[in-house]
Amino acid sequence: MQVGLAHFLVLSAALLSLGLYGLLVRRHVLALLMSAELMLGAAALALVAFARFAYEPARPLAGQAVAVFVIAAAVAHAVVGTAMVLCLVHQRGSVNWDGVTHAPAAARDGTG
Amino acid sequence: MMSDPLYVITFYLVGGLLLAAAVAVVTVRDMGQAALALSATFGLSGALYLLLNAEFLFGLQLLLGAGAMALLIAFAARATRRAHGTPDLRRGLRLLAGAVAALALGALGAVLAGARWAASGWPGLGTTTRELAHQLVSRYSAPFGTTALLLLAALVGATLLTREEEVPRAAAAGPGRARRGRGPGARHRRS
Repeated sequence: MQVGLAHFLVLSAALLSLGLYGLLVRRHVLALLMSAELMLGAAALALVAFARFAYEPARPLAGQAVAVFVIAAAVAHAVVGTAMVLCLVHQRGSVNWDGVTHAPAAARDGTG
Repeated sequence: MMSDPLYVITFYLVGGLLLAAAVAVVTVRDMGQAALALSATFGLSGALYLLLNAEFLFGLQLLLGAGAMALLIAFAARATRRAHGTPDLRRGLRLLAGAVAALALGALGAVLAGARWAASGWPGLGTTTRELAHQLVSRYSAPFGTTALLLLAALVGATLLTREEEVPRAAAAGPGRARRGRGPGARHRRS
């Protein structure tokens, strides 16, 4: 029995599909944020697996380098997303994603 | 090393726990518990990075993913726990979404498992941290700087978003109300 690149890639695809399911099913904005984080984590896992199993001497560890950027982007996403969630809840008093098309307008007519 | 029984057992154990934690993230009703499951997901994927000889990324994932990010989301879950909300989609639509996700998994799995990658030898680096650091400041220095800029922009944006409306309201309401209204949790509880 041997663990290879395909094993890690299929695991990453499973994580990505779970994140997709969460994005489709959930209504709570924080849950949507977490599902998106799950998908970014899946992408990072695939990149690290490629860095290990498809090592190229001309571009060593390219996958790991890009995974660093993906993790940084995920952190930025979590920071801004959390701030937006707090802002949204403050303005609408609801944590649901449904019907959020004109959040600034809702703030303007004083529902916040 | 890849065929080492210990390696195989560790991979399946960590992978199974990772999938279980990910399922908990997308199904658990309570957002605090979901944030905890997300933290576990990041910690376990960090363990997989260790299996893939990525020690620096393991530390990064543990500190940023399992630590900071999950803490931030748990804080937001606590601050918004009294806000109005409705449960997830009803059962029929949930099944439809599950079918879509399963279809995506099937297509991706079939493509990824069947593909033949240009496999090349692992040079047997002891740890990859040194080589990664070298790459980050030489070949990838431009993306590295851009990432720093992105994080700075995220910091400033988050600060602006959360204190945008507080200034005029605090000025209008006087010092007593301003103190009560500080912080997002206090703000939404009042509305």
